[in-house]
Amino acid sequence: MKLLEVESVGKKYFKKQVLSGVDLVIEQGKIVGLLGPNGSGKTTFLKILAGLIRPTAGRVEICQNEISYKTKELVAYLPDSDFLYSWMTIKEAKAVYIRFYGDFNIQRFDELLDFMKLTGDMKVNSLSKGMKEKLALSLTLARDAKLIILDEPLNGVDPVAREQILVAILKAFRLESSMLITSHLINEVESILDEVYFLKEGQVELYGNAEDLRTEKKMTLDEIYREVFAC
Amino acid sequence: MPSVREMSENFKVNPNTIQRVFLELEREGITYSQRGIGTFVCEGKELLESLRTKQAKKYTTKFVNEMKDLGMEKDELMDYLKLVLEEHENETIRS
Repeated sequence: MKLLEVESVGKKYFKKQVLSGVDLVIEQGKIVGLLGPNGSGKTTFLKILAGLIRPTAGRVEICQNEISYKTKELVAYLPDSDFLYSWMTIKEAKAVYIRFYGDFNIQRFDELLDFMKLTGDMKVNSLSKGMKEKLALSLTLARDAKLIILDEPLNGVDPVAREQILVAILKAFRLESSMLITSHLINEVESILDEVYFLKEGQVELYGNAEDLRTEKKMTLDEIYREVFAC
Repeated sequence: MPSVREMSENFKVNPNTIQRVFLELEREGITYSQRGIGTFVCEGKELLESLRTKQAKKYTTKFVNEMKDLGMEKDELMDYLKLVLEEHENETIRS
């Protein structure tokens, strides 16, 4: 079943064309990677899916719904920037999410928090960058949303914590939903991706099933990435 | 066998990939699955023996190819093999 269907989507910021002619389909039960260098349009694309900005061209449907307030229930979005109030404790952040999102799974959140070795009494502004990322990720992954979109979940996180984050993503992955993850740490996410889209200057340069691409090119995704984006 | 979920988290690999591995193992006759219970490794001497032979051939072929790449002839290759085997023996005696 198609969870997400994107057809020739474009986005212009004034005169600057950030995305053009992006086609993308995500089936249920898949983890999909959106890979590309800085400034290739990944975050803009995710913001469109999250309903934060509107595309200037094309069509987006999530579970057969056009993007609207309704699709916000279907999408759990992890932005790549800080979005938690620094004066909050983790417990308070959890309370906000419970009130905000009907699909917030308290049990899963507590399990994830425990796995991340975070506790409810910690204050957001006392957390390190990596811990903040872990908290934000746990809040996002705790939602029983259909489409989970994670913008650079590994950014600014040390290698050990990165592994922890990857395991958390796998723990929270449910076959009745799908995930879209952006990253430029291809090596790290390679083994968890079903499908990949390489985004170059706002256009899909290459896409396919990760296993098929590896077999066909006899290269790892990391090597393919280097080939696609070589100057 | 552990569950797909467990394997996925242990190896940090997509559960769909593990699922494919399980299917492949079953197709090769190494495992069998029982609905609702789990996946089990097949027992049976013949199967284990044939897997062992297959694996041994694979390792040996790799070894021979690499030695040939170094320009080794058959006799020289055998000498090295004996040398390493002897070293191994000595080590086990000492420990």
